[in-house]
Parts: sequence; structure tokens; C-alpha cells
Amino acid sequence: MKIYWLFLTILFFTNVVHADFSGSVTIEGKIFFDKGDNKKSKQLYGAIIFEPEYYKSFSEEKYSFTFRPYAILDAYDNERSHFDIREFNGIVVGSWWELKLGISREYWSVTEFSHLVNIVNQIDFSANIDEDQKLGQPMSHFSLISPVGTFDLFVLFGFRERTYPGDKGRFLFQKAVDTDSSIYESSQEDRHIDFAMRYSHSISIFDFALSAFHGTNREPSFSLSDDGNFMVPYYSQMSQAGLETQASSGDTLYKLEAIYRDSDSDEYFSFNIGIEHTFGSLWSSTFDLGLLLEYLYDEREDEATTPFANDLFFGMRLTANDTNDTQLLAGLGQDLDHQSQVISVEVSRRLTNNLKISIDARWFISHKQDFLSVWESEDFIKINLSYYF
Amino acid sequence: MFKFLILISTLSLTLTLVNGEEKQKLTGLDIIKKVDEANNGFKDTVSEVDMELKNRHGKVSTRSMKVKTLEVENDGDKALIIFNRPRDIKGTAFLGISHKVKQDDQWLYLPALKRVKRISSKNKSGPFLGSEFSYEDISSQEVEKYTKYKLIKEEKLNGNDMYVISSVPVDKNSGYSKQIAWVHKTEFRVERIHFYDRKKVHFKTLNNLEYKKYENKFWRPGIMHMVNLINGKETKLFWRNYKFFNDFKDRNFDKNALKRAK
Repeated sequence: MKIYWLFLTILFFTNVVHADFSGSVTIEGKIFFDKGDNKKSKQLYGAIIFEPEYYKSFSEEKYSFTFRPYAILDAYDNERSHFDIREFNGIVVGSWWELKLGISREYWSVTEFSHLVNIVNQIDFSANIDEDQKLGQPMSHFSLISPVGTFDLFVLFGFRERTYPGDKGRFLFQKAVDTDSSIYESSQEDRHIDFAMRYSHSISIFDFALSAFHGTNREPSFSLSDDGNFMVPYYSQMSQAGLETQASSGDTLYKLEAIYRDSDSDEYFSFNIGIEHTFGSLWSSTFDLGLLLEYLYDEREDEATTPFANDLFFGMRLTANDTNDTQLLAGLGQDLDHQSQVISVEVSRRLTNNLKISIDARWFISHKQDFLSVWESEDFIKINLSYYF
Repeated sequence: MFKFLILISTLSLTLTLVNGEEKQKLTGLDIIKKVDEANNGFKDTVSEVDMELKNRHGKVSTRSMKVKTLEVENDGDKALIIFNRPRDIKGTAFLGISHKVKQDDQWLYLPALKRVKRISSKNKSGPFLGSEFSYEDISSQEVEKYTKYKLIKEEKLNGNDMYVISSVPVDKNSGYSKQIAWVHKTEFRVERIHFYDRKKVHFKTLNNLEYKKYENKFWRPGIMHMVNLINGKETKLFWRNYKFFNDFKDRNFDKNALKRAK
């Protein structure tokens, strides 16, 4: 079925020869240093990712249409192979309003290491453990643009389950997640209609936003299946209030992001505060050096369902500003309660006009009881070669 | 008697006027203000730009983008730049709202995440897309951003009479210590700029070529050619399909427009 969709997409796009057609094909190779806890898992993985986009606009961009499918084909973990529609929507633009109907993605958040407020879309976790890949969400999105700020209203039709690797894959939570037997708090299950709104504004050096969400929690909790072989996700109903602020003063950005979340099972507060400073034209070269420092606090502490509860992050971004867009990003996440660490290094560079390489390495150094301990043997290097058209 | 007085006063007025015009030569600041005035009332533009980068071995790489601008009265202009090539940055868009004295406001749209990010605008001297143009070269040029305008000489360039004016950037974060500009004497358009780095070395030269007049008033170069004299690299900007008076509004230059920009 998935393959059939993939072929259909390729067929559609090769037939539409248009200037508004673009996208990428990526070959991904992953090497894990350890064998992993699961017997079926391997140390070498390969995948192909296809993400084209078709865009068309009419009467000076007053109306536009976007179609962006996404397909990933993993050579070994067939649970990871999947097809998704990231975007399939129409936008109408008025002088003081905008209306979008269809499948889309919406990004909220100002901080770099976590994106607490970013709630509209589900995470495509099996595509990327970075949680920056999001599944397309069917929605109607109305924006009202006024001199005192922008008001966004979202009606989210239906719920997307988080994707997880299969038992042949890596990054399991001890056991593989059985995404076919998810349990919901709402009797409407994944047909529950969610609501979200956001108010955002920019005044001089300040950008800020207040948001609210009510609906199905994007983040599941887990229970063990009856046979004890799988993790079963449980999606509760929840409400969230969010705040994003950024002050941009000269070369320094000050950021604060906070949420208050309320559901049947828990009620908590979490924030991420940070600073980002860029040293431009390092030693009168073209290099820029960006330094980031962020702190994340989650009121649930050890009960937190995310790996981070009381953590300090340090990041470094080195940009060569050369014609090949060479970049290096290094990060260290330090758990202040358990002395666990996550270290990441990402390098990327354009090879030709259409070809780009990125190398991404990750190490997990953890101690018992910590959330990260399940990933202790998941250290890896990922090499992505992307062709853009 | 009365008539005579009027005659005398008119005559003296005329004389002072004639004298005044002859004596009162244009200062460097006057000329730059005239350059600015010549561009007043352009309202908005849209154009396509191809950027050609050449390294010292002659290897060429290209970029292409769409540039939209909006004139803002009594402040700096607004600009929206949408990248098209190379393809890995296609859909990336830049929104700049420049100010005469205050720090400029800049946002970047990253299409992979659909993220709008406010970026720091202080690093003006950094290269734009790895080219020999820096961010301050491509941001809106305002009279107030420079000081100590001085007419240093008048000379011919490409067969035309020019004023040669030096000026010093106000912002201490500028990558320049001085600029020397060649201004066309009758059309008041800038034809060449020598850029001096912080060590007061002339390190970049910009030539604005193939000027064309739009809407009977506004001169725009077809080619902007920047040469870095130190590293031997060159960047050419080819401006195509200039369109004026598109009836753009502030709404075409807000964060929503940035997210939709293609």
C-alpha cells in the first residue's frame, strides 16, 4: 500500500513539469556503535526519503495552493517506512485576514533545544528522533492581522498518532511501540476535533506570543501490552497555555518559552530560558560563531515523559559563510539531576548546486533511573546525501 | 520714488540670487541628499536577481532570488528577499525592515521547519549568501546611516562628469571605515563605490553598470559588480524584470507574508 502511494506520487510529479515544482531526494545511512537491546535490531541502516513540493499561486499570490507529500523507505525497518502528506492546502489572503484550509504544518517556538509550545502538529518520530519532523495536520486556520498584533484561530480536524520505529529499528523505549492498538481518553478517539489559538506581536526589539490549545495530547504515555512484548500508547485529552518571548538586542537574542499543561493524569508547568549570541566575522574572517545557552525546567522532574526535566544545554554554531554554506553545530545537554549527557555534532555542506551532504553524530551518556538510559546503546552517526531539484 | 525702490530691491534680490547660485557650490551632503531625492516616490518594486560568484580560480557558482521593496516615508525601506537557487535554500525568505537611526529588524523564514526566526541584525559586515556583498550593502541606503560627507573632487568616469564624495558610516558595527562614491553630476546616481575596511585599506570596489531609467524617473543598474581586491573574489548581481508601482502594502511585508513567500 505504501509503495503504491509512493509510485503514484512519483508518477504525478513527473507528469507535472512546472517551474513551481521543487523538492529533494535523500539517501540516509546510519551507523550505530552498539548492538542495541533488541535482538532484531541491526547496526547499519539505510533509507531513502522523497519530499517534493508543488506550489501554484493565482492573482498576485492572493490565492495559493501547496502540495507536499513525504515518503520514507527504510531498507530494514518496514515500520519506519511510511508515507505522509505534509501539506495539501489552499490559502486565501485578504487585506487584514488569511484563511488556510487543508493539511498543513504550523511552527511555534523560539528556543533551540526544546519546543515546548509547539503543539499543533504531531511529531514524526520514526523519521527523525530530533522531533523536528512533523506530520501534516488537517486544519482550518484563520488569521486576523491588526495593528495590535496577529490573532490565529485553528480548528484541527482529527488526530495524528506519533510514529515509532518497529521492533527491527532503533530508538525503542525498551520495547517497540504498537501503534495499531493505541488507546484514547476521548470516545471519539482519533476523530476528536481540537482547537488552538495564538496571539502574536512584535514591538521594537520584542517578539512575543500567547497561545492556548485544547484537545488530544500529542505526547502519549505508555503501558505494557497483554503479552508483554509491546508498549501501548495512551493519548489523553489536555489543555495547554503557552508563552513565547524573544528580545533581539544587537548580536544577542534572549528567549523564554513556557507552558502550563493540564490533563486528567497530570498538571504541570515547564519553561525553557535561553540566550544566543553571535560573534560575527571571527578574527576578521567570514566565519560567524554563535553560542547558545539554554536551561529547561519541568515541574514533573523525574516523572517527566520527556528526556529533559532539569537540564542545561550548551550549543555552538560555526558558519563559514562560504559559497558552499559550510556549517557546524555542536551541542551538549547536561542533566543536572542525574549527570546524564547528550552530545551532538552536525556538519553540513553543499557539494554542487544540487547536492548537499550532512553528517550528524549523537552520543548518549546516561546513568540509571534517567529517562535517557533507554538510549544508552543508541549512539550513532548519520550521513545524509540530498539531491535538491 | 516708490517704483524706484521696488526696482532697486528687485534688482538686488536678483543679484543675490545669481551670486548665491554661483558661490553656493553643492556640498557632499547636498549631493547625497539629491541622490536620495531622485529616488523618492518609487513606492515599491519587484525584481529578479541572479547572483554570480567567482572565486580567485575563476570557478563560478550562481544564486537566484526575487526581491520586493516598499518605500516607507520618514524611515528606512522594507525588503522581502525570496531565494530560489541553489535549490537547497529554495523557499528560504528574508524580511528586513530598516530604520534610519535605530537598529534594523530582520526575520528569516526556514521552509523545512516552517519556522520564522527573528535574527540579530548587528552583524552587518557579514557576507550575504557567501558573496562579496555584505548585509549592509544590500540593506536600504539612508542618508542618515553615514556622516562626514565630503566632496573631494570632480572627475570623469566612463565619459560622464562625476562628483566624488567620501563618507563615514555612523554605526560602529559597520565593516567599513570609509566609502568613496562616484555620483553622476546630472542624474544623481551612484556609479562606483570604493569601500575601505576597518584598517583603512581600500579592499572592495563596486561598479554599478547598465543603468536604465524606469517610470521616467528612477535609475536602476542592470549589473552591480563587486570586486574584492584582497581575496580576488568577485560577485555580480544581474537585476531583471524590474517592476514599479505594484500597489504593495505593509501587509506584503509582514511575518505572514514572509511565511507565504515563494
